[in-house]
Amino acid sequence: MTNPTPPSEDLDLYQRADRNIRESAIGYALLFSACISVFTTVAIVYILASETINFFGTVSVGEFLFGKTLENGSYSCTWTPQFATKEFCVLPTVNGTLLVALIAMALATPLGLATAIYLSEYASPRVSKLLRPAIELLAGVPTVVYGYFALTFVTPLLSKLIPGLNGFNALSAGLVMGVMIIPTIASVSTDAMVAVPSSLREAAFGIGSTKKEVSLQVVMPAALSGICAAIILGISRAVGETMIVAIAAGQSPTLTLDPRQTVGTMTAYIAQVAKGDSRVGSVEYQALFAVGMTLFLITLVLNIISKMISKRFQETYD
Amino acid sequence: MTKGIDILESSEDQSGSSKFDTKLDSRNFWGKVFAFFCVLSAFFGLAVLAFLIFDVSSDAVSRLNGDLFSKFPSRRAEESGYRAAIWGSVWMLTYVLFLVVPIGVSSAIYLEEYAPKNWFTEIIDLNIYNLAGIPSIIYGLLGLGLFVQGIFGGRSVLLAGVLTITLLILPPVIVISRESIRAVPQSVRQASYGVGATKWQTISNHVLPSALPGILTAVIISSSRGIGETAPIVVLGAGTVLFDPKASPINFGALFSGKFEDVFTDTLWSNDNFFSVLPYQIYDWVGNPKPDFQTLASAGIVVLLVLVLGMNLIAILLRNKVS
Repeated sequence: MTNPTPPSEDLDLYQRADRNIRESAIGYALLFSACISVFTTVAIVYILASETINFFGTVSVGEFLFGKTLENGSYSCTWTPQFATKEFCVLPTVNGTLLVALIAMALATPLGLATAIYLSEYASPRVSKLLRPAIELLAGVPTVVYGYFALTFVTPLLSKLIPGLNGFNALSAGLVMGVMIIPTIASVSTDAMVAVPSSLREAAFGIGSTKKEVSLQVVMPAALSGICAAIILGISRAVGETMIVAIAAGQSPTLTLDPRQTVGTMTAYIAQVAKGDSRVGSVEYQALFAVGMTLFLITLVLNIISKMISKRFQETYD
Repeated sequence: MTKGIDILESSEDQSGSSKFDTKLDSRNFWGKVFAFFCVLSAFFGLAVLAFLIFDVSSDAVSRLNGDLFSKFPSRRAEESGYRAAIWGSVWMLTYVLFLVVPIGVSSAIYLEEYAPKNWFTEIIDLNIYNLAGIPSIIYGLLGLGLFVQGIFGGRSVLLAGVLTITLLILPPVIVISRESIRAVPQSVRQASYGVGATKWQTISNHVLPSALPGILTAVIISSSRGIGETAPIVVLGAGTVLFDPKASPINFGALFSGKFEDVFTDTLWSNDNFFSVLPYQIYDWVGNPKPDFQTLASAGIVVLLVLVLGMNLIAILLRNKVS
């Protein structure tokens, strides 16, 4: 400091105009990058919508959503675009998706929440810091691996315990999917629970509550909106998951609630038809996008609800 | 106040006949049961993961040899390998990184440092959040409609896969990069502005270096998801491929021998550059009823897991080193 450096060319004030141009050019370049994500959304909506509109030129919206009455007067709702007699009633695939998602959530919700309670209330900060990324690894395992595990390990294991279990079934796909979703629920709920002010816990401990009572009756209700957001996010993941169901749950959409049966989800249908060669412009090809649109809308609504709930919770404790 | 204490004392005096029974024994018992359940849950997923790795490895052990990397797919399981698929994954990862890093980091910088608070920024913001939640198979449909049918004339080429996976992993890269840019203290920026630096000088010399580990973590974790993705690749219509993917952007042989009209033949841009990736090939073989192919699939899974979990491990170590 006692020996100040002479003014360098950095201080050349004539560079200013030059510099301003460069600065604003960089700003616009960055803006352009950010716009790519908007372009992605526009492209997704455009492509899904245009093919879906073509699809509804052939198949009525009513038939797609609720099935149709056949010539002999009986009601029919099946999803058979690849068959000779094509029928396009999406309900069996939605049924398959919801059944598998329900099984997955039945496993992932209690385990995910208990994991979150352990991480935020019981574990020491050291353990918690090690355990959290380890649990998040579960979400990083490629889903094709989970599919293989469900098909070649879980299904044979369950078929010893449950008679009448089909080789492809909703149950083992759902259970393995549940394991995949645990980190989603655990991570978001842990954040919500950690954000609960410790004064609430101290007050509850002060009147003699046990740790379990504090966790379940004070922390969980206080973090409820975050927990709801986590569960809805989990459902959205389950609905959009493809490979586990395509490999282990089978590919025949049926209206059933029996978890031992083969089902076909929306995602598995898309994967199955796209893997085979469907002609561009054919109704099977358009049906892909109609199912995709349905899936897109379902997950979009779930994500928006989840975001709205978690926003409310942030306002409460910040 | 005194009244309260009186009640406490008197209830202690008449222990047993008090209306307020603390039921300490049963509460403590259930407390322990609950704590045990929580610990069990926290380790349940990890136990499943450990078992999964063990199960897959024991299935795969007979096929874990050099053939796995050097042979192309064949109708006979014992002569098949993942050569085309592994090279497909490697080149896809390379080009995806090439696109995702500049676009993702620029978007994150724009949103954190430049964006004015207005409706347009809000739309971009909300939009990225929603994109991150869209199922990967929808990105497959996007790639099918936009790239495969729209640009490449119905051909499922490597570049279509690269572009699709790039769009798929951009939102998480942007979201996590933004968090680490936001975590750089405001005082760093103020100090830089204080000595006369411009906005971009501040960002490139001070903000980005501090945020770098977080950005790297984001890129590594997201791209490990990207190379593990099967669903979008299936939807793009990738198939079994019996040759190495062409990855060079220009044909150097043609360039140096002076055949300038051929500089782009047999390159990344060729429209016969069909590709396969590791998870796709695994999916293809898992669905094969012959048990030999399932063994082959499990061997591919071991390779894929080493790659993906390895990348995740690097990201975790990087994050822990910083925080």
